[in-house]
Amino acid sequence: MGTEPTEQISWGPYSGDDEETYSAEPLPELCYKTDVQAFSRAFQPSVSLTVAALGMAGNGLVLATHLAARRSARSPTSIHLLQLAVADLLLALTLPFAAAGALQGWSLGSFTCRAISGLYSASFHAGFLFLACISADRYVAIVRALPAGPRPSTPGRAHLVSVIVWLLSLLLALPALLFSRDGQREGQRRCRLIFPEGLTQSVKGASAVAQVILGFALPLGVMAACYALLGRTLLAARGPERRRALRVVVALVAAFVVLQLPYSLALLLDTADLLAARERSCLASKRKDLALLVTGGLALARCGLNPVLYAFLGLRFRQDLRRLLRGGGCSPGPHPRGRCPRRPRLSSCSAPTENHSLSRDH
Amino acid sequence: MAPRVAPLLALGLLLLWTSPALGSANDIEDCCLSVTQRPIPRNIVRDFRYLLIKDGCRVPAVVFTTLRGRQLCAPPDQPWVDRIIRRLQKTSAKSKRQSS
Repeated sequence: MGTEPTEQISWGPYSGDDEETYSAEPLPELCYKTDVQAFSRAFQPSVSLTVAALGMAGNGLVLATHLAARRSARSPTSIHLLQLAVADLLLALTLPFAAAGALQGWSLGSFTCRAISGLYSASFHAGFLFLACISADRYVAIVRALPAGPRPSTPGRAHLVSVIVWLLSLLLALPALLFSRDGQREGQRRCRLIFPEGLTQSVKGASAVAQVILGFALPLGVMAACYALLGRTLLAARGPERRRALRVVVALVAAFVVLQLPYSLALLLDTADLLAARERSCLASKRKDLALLVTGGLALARCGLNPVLYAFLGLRFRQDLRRLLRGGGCSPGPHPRGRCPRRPRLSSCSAPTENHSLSRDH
Repeated sequence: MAPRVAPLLALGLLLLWTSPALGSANDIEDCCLSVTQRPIPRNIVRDFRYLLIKDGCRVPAVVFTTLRGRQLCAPPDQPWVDRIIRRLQKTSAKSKRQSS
């Protein structure tokens, strides 16, 4: 940063110009962001296309495996994992549009702009919410697997939760659906979200507070509480599966902290700036843009990595995948472990014990 | 805005800002970060353009290009800004007529 000469106004004695003499203070000047824009033009499409490829391959595989396994009775975790894969796949499908728009401008018109932005927003929110659902499911599964635990829940409730999550995501995507515009600036058309100018400061303030609560504190709180309780239960448990299950939890939490938290924090600071109507120097503003860009890329990468973190770590998924790859999608009859095991199997639901007899391919 | 609508609308807008804008973390545009409150002398200005919210800027501004090529940010809703703009439009129309 800072390669661009930010011309400081010098009020030197050499000047006989009116321009220099009428004021003793520097005047606010236009902030040129040429260098950040150049970086963004290279960084953003490459991240988008990489995540799109990863996301389509990984989540496509998750969905194909599920369809091939044709399992009807499912645990809440696997239902929500499937929904997460659907959300991430939809998100991945919008990314090539975004990359193309960043490279050569938006050429698909306002309607497509709204549709793609809405889909992007809805699937992003759905993915985040399903992550919180999965953490809650996992905790509930562990508690239920304990001898004194309550009875297992029906898949019906998990489906209901999924419907609610999608409706909420659509609601949250409404602004993107309504306010995205195909705007022109300096010859380049861009698809972007522009809030109506009539929005008052109080509305912005209220929405920012709600954003911090619902978009940051709530998912973070749910995940932190569930995984902390889960970790505590696992640490107190015994058995060979304990370490595996603990490893999965640590991987999930670490991925979330490394990939999602920086962006959430950057947005939090940016929102604080917006609300305080704080003035920043051009250099600070460019640093902030750069931080949002890079952390935003990381947050996007999380969506591409979800299949690896959530589905591929589950052993049942790997069994199904082997069957899919071997049998060309033909399922050899009903799976013996269609339901959550009732025994205290700590890595239950998403990761039942590995059945080594199935791995004949080596 | 009705007091009951505001929180609802706010709730609708909220999580939007937590998701990356389509295509990039945010729109990185050349914008004014603030505008001058003191009038700029009109004789140092040779050109102007608008950079508004619809251009992806948070602070709507009129950007005046000075004789020395600096780009000064002015508020679009001030009468002195309007006067300079009118003057610039008049002179540019005059020069066009002369050149044609």
